[in-house]
Amino acid sequence: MPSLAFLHGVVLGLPLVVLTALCVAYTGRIGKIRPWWHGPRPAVLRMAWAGLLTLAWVVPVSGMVLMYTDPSRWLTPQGTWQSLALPWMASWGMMVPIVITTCAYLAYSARAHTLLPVWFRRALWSLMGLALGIVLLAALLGSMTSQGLFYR
Amino acid sequence: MASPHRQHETLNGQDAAALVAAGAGIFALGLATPIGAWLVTARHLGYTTARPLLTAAAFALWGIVWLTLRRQWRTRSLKAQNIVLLAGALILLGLLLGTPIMAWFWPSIHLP
Repeated sequence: MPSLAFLHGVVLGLPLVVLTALCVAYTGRIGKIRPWWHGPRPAVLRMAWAGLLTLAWVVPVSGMVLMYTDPSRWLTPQGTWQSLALPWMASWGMMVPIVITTCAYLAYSARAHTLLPVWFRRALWSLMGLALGIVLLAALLGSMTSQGLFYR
Repeated sequence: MASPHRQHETLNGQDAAALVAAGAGIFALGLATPIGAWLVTARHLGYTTARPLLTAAAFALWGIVWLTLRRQWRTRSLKAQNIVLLAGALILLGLLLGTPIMAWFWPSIHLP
C-alpha cells in the first residue's frame, strides 16, 4: 500500500504544481498588452486562482500537520527524521501559502491599473516563479526522503 | 547634453503593504529554522512542538505586518523599486535561513 506521503504528493501536490505552472505563465503576460483587461474575468481564470489558493494552503498545512502530529503515519522506513529534507520542506514549504496569497492579491489588484509599473510586474512574476520553484523542490525533497537519501 | 528626467514608478500603499508583508512573513519562516534548532538542541524542546509554534508565530507576524502597513500606507504612494527590492531582500534572507545549511557546520545540531 502506498505511504501517506506518496498519496499526499500525488493527489494534492501534483495539481498544485500544475496550477502553479499555469499561473506563472499567466502572470508573465499580465501588463504586456495594453489594456490587458477586457471586461469581466473569465470563469476559468477565477476557478484557476481559487483552486491554486486553496491548494496552496491545504497542501503545506495538511503536510505539516501530518508530519508533526503523527510522524509514524507519514514517514517511510527509509525516510526518517534523520533526513535533512524534512526540516527543509517544513521551512520552505510553508512559504508557499504566503507567496501565492500575495500573488493572488497582486493579480487581483492589477485589474485597477491601466498601466502596470514594470517593478510591479517583476515582483509578481518573481513571486510566482518562487512559488513554482518551491513546490518543485518540495516534490524533489519528498522523493529523496522516501528513497532514504539526503541523510545527515 | 542634459540627461533626461527620470520619473520613478510608484506603487500604491495597499500593494506595497502586501509585498513587504510577504517579505516579512518569509523572513520569519526562515528564522524559524535557527530559532527552532536552538530551542530543540539547547532548550530540549520537542521538535513536534517547536516547529508548529514557530510557524504559527511567523504566520501571525505576516498577518499583523500586512494589516498594519495596509492601514498606515492607505493614502501613500511609494517608490516601487525600493519596495520590491526590500521585499526581495527579506525573501532571499528568509530562504537562506530556512535551508538546513547549519547542520553541515554543526553536525550535532538538531533541526526541528
